[in-house]
Amino acid sequence: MTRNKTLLRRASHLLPDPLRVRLKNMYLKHNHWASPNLKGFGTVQDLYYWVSDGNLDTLLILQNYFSMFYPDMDTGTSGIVTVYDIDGKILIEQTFALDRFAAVKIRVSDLLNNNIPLSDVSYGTLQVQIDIPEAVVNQVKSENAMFYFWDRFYLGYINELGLACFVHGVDKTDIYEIGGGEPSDWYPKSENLEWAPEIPVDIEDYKQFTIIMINRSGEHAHINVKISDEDDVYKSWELDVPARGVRRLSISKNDTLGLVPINLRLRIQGMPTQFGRPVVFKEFVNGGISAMHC
Amino acid sequence: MAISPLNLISTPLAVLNSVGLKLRVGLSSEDPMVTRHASESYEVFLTTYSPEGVKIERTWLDTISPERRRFFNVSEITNELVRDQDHLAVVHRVPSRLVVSGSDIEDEIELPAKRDYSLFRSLVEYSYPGGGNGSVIYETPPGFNMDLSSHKSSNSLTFTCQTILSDTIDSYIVIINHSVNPSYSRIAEYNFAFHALSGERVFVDNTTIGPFGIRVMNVRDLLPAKLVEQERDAKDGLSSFTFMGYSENAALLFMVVNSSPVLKSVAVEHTHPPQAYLLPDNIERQRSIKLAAMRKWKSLLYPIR
Repeated sequence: MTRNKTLLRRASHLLPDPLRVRLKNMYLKHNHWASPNLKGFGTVQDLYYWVSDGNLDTLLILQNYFSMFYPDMDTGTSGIVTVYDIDGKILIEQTFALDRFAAVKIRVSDLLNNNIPLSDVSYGTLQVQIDIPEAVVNQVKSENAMFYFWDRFYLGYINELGLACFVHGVDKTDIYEIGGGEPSDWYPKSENLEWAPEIPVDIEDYKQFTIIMINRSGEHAHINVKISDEDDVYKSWELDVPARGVRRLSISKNDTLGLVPINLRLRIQGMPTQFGRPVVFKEFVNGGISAMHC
Repeated sequence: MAISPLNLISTPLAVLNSVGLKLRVGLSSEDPMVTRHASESYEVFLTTYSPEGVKIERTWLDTISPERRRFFNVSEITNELVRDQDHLAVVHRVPSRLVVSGSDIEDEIELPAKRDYSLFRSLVEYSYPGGGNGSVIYETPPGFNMDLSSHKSSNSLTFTCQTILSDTIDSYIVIINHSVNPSYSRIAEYNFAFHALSGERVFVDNTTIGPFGIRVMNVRDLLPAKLVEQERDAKDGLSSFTFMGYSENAALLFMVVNSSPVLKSVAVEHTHPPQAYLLPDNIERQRSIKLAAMRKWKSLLYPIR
């Protein structure tokens, strides 16, 4: 569906402006602007990268974002964190209560420690669903419109030195309709997209530079990660990422020997979803950490 | 579409001299989607503002050849002009073919409406000398604070969970009041609050940010030490707060910098605009919900000030 939408968008640019606007308005009269799969009322949730390896841990500070939009309402609610392994298999689910204006703090190591031997898994994906508070449900229902909340929270990471960093959500994975039931895929199909991250990389700055690719689609993705220098000399790696899975590529200066180590550029081929660009996780010799989307 | 070439692709930068951080910017000459503007080179300009928001200097930095990446040491350049105080700088990428000898780069030019440079973001990287770095990518939103005659698009609602403190970590909220209109003169009034994890509202205050200025708020200096201690998690030593704020008269950009000067480590992330959380069928409702929320927050925060 996304591919069709992309093709439609590209084709529409060939039309004269008045006709293009008219066709766009006709399309939007019958389809949600964000996705034709949005036909009711609910939430859209994404998959996030978690790591818990004895040094790094994942820090969730889940804010009641409904209180931010509806501060005059009783927005007390509850939610659930689902932790998956690298292939998208559920490891554990944990429910939580969330008062009005409140936030709940959860460490992934705490979720896993009581249930999964840490030696078996050290990273994967997770998803958070915060239920729409009843007062907000009633408010939105009274307006009789298609409406979805998309929780784009900030996922934290912390290491044994106590250093922390955050990174925001970028994409969408599941559509949950109000009233329960199984979610539907935002991206049923995997696309073979190309992405040129804007960032230069000075690889000698890092003890380890990790590129993380999450496949939010319902199909397997074969991803090529290429790193090129200013002389167009490059090295490349392959990642096979199952549907709803995650894989990562950790490199250091030793992995890029032969390349000019400054102003390196990345290229991703085979990115499975439109906005599923990489997360990069940076670790430094002094113990510092930081993460970003690029 | 009439636009200054300087506003085609730009990113406002907070130079954080008071925090002791170096600033680099990383730029690309490629469309990240690899579908537009192939084989285009770009001229890089840097505009430096004083702490008071007065333009001091605009400098041409270099040309980026097609399909290349480049770092530029911004604070090394700006420290020649402003040494100790925090201030704004703006980095611009202008397609080389639009830089015409003899014409003023600030003059607006006509471009086809479909000339799309969206998603051309800059990497903004902070570091301690000899330490690690933290970075984030963003760009100036289209038409940012452009319309001086109307308040239609000029407001902000912010919320984030990134504000944490510990013996190791300091947290800074950085607010940027930028505009694509060189005549912009609005002083942003910003009201904000912190909540404890329990949901209790523990701190309320307000600040102003001048045009082409920045405000750097050290969370440790804002919050009473007793409160920080009270909210400390004995298990990991973190005192976690959530932050929210609003401005009724200016669109603002926000970043949270979490740093450890002792360990020379820094991390940075921006905040999403609230409309990014809302997917109504009628996109205009994003704005109406945001405005309604700000009005309600105003009535909640003002009685206790």
